[in-house]
Amino acid sequence: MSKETREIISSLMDGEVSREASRFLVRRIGSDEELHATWARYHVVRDCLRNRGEVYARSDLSVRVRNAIADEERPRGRFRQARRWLKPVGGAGIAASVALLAVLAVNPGGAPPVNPTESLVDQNVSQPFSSPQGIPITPVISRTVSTNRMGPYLLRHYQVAGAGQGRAIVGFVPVMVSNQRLEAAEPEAVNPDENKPVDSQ
Amino acid sequence: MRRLAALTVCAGFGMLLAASARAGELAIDWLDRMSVAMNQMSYQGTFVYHQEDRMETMRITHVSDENGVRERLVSLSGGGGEMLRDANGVSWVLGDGSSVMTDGSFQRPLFPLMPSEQEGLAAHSYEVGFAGKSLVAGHLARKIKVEPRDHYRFGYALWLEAHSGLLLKWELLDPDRKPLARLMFTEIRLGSEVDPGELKPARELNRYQAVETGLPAGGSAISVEPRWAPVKIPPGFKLTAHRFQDGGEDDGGEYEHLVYSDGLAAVSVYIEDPAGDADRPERIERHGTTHAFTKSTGGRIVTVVGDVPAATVLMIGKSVEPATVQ
Repeated sequence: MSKETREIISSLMDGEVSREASRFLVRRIGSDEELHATWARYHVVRDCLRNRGEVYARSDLSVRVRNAIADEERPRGRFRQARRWLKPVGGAGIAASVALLAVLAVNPGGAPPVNPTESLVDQNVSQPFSSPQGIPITPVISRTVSTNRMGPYLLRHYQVAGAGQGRAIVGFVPVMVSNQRLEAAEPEAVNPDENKPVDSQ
Repeated sequence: MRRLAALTVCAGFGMLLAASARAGELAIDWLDRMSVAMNQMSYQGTFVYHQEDRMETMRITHVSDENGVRERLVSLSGGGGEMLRDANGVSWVLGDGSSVMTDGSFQRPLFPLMPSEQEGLAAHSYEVGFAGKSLVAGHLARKIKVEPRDHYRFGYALWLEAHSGLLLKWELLDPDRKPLARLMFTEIRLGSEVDPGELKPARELNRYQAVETGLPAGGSAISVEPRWAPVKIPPGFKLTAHRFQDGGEDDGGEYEHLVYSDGLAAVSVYIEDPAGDADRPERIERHGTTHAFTKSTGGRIVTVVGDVPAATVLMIGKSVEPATVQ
């Protein structure tokens, strides 16, 4: 790592970099292991020098720095509240029970009775597509889904498009769930012009 | 006296406008805060995912430390699916319990190709605002509404941990603002409370049958004009990544991967030379909330995927042509 890079990291820690540049640098640190490690080491050193050994550089350092940057432009005290999220929470065993309760809360009346075939378009029937911007109407055939065929594209998509924005998991969950459904039951077909909502809260 | 009253009213309006401007700026800032928190923080928790008549309980462990980011997502509902991500790429243990799909040939670039001005992009396509506070999984959360300005993208309701911005609850909304899917943590641990032992897969990965994606890695080519590209792109979407591989006897056929983003939603466009049967009928598929469109044209297979309405992948996919024809 070059001396200039180390100086930039040092400047970032000292708050000598503009807010926009800080954002960019924090992202680079997040995607570069070497920078990330250096960043963490610098904080450990600084914390030790300040006799804050118990607050060693943790994984959320960049968040703390970003908060500090944000604080500089906002009234003091806004983000100075105690980090109550550090309080202990229940274990995994309890989580399963809570999850069940959450299911009831999310879906208090149970999911509306849906015949699995209702959501399926006739798989061999062309569906007219009405475009919101006047695209020529073209029949699009809805076909059975093969996640194993599409899997590579989805996997690559969420690596390139999702991971960098911290949405990889959220993006991947529907695909994973969908895949399990396919393997457990019927292949799913698609209505190209319809998105089926879940129940509203 | 009238002048004083008028000045007071003007000042009041000014303060109101300034306050609302600050509120808008803060709300969109929280999207960025969320992205950083989701990537940089260590967290571990159980969440439920609800879509249509399907309910899944899943568990995630996300560790970000001096070893980089390591992540494991596993289904607790009996499906057996599991996903692992680290510096070596992604491994997807399929629900059949016997095979694992890996994408070893692709390594994420060390630095983002497009240093984020995602907020600027998103502001063109979404209205972002605060919508109150509530408790989620025992944590105080700020609700952020992200409403699309047209029908080419979904909306979101996000509940972000009030201090860090970590995502605690998420709803995907259709253009009529009805929830299409919902994800909510029921228990979450943060920072030093995370047990990295849970990163270990349920079974050693070498016991599974390996299924390589078969997609070439391609090289970063953001400065190179795409050889194939969609002629029509929904408003607000911009090319944010481009990977390219020239055709060759050793490397296989020509391959291009274009990623378009509006700051929140992303659409991937793959153009491949199949070196064989390239006849594919046009079709749209849905995988959860992800839509996919495939077609063949000019000896190439075009595949478009994204967490967007079907109309969006259809518009983009149908208009993919050789760039020289434009």
